[in-house]
Amino acid sequence: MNIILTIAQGAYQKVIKSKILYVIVVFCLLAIAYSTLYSAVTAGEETKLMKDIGLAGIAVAAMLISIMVGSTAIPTEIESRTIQTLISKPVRKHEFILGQFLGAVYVALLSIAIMAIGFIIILAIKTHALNLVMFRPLILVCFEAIVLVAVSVLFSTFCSSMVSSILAIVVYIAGHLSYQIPFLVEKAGNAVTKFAGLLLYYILPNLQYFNVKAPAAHGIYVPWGLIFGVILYGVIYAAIMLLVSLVIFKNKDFA
Amino acid sequence: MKSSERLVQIIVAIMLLVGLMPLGNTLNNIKEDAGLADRFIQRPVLGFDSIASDVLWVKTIQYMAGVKKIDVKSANIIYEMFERITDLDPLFTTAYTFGALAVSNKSPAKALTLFDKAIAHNPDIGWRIPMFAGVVSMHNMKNYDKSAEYFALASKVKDSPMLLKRMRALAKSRAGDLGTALILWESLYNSSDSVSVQIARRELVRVAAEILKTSTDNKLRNKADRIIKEIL
Repeated sequence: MNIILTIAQGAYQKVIKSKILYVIVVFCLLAIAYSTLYSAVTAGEETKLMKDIGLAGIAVAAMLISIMVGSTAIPTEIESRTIQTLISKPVRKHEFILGQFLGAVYVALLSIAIMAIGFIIILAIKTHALNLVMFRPLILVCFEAIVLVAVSVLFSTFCSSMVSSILAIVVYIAGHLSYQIPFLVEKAGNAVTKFAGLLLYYILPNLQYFNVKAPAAHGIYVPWGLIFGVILYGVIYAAIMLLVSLVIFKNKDFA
Repeated sequence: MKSSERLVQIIVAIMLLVGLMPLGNTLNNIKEDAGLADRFIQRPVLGFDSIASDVLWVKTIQYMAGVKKIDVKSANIIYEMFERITDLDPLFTTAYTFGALAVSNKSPAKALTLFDKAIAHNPDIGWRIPMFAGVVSMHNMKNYDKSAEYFALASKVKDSPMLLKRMRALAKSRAGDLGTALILWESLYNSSDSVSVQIARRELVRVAAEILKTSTDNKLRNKADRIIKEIL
């Protein structure tokens, strides 16, 4: 466990130096603050607009950061040949994968936490109330980020960082569209198409589960049962991705 | 890595994936029960539906600001815009009201379509939207039966004003359903709301007189006769 945490710390320290990370976080906070100026053109819906911009901005930033840190963690180690030193020491490959994953997750969650606190403060200044209900969609944004880091880590075990970033973005897009597959499958004529559609539906992550931004922005109650269910879904999906990463990575030879 | 170890890992991964299927179905059911189910939409926006609806909302407000007088053509455009806004964010009740009231004069049927969509997508809609729908049905469509249905829906909402019950009774009278109108006005006459009692008294006399004049139903005529005698 100590080895995993040491690798995670190393991965975190490497990523945290990246300037692009700060640019994304600052840009997101500026976008949220800027949304307060839109009150004149929203016909009384400025608070809703602000909540939507805040939640969407954090979700986009979380996606970019997760994919960036997830898909660069392992290829950077391979390119800089640090991995050879690590593997020659008593570090097992699964410890290396888990360490890199935890380091990337830590960076992603830290960035989301900073943006979330900034958002809640700006919203509190604007509405003169502490909107704690906003934490529910933000919790799910955190777990969506964990899933995306796991997916990026999986791709980075057999692709370059650039290719794994692109693949992770494709999964992100497909993951947000996959909920539409059952509607399309219903209309599909033949059994093969139906089977292929359903297979895709169950293999792809259903990232729409993590999206409760609209009800939260309207102040509609999002049940805790749903939140915990989605957290469980995210954890299991991330675990599957890590298991597959491990299977692929263990076959790699770095000698 | 031993092949048996790899096989175990693959089997565990597949089992976890299979385990996600019932969990996914449970999550879909919870979302459905909470009124947050994902719907099929023509232009999916990757989970950013709400912000996309905001952008369209701002664009629509800008468009409406440039329209001097709403005619049939601009009413159709405005309706389409609000259709898209509410497709993206079905919980955006202000958009339904704003859009429906904007087009209610030139396209009352489309206004009612928006109101119906609002009612269908928002179980806790409150009384205002059904009330607006009732008013549009009554004054713009002259569909008094439909109007009475909307007022009935609005008046069921907790803490809704007594006015809605009076509007329902009025709609029933105008729809020619004098029997129901008589019952509704009578219940208002027996209520504790002084304004309703006053109005109900006047309306009961009018509806009862109408029944005595036009109805052939003896039971209804007797009831109308009894009410008139009680009131006067």
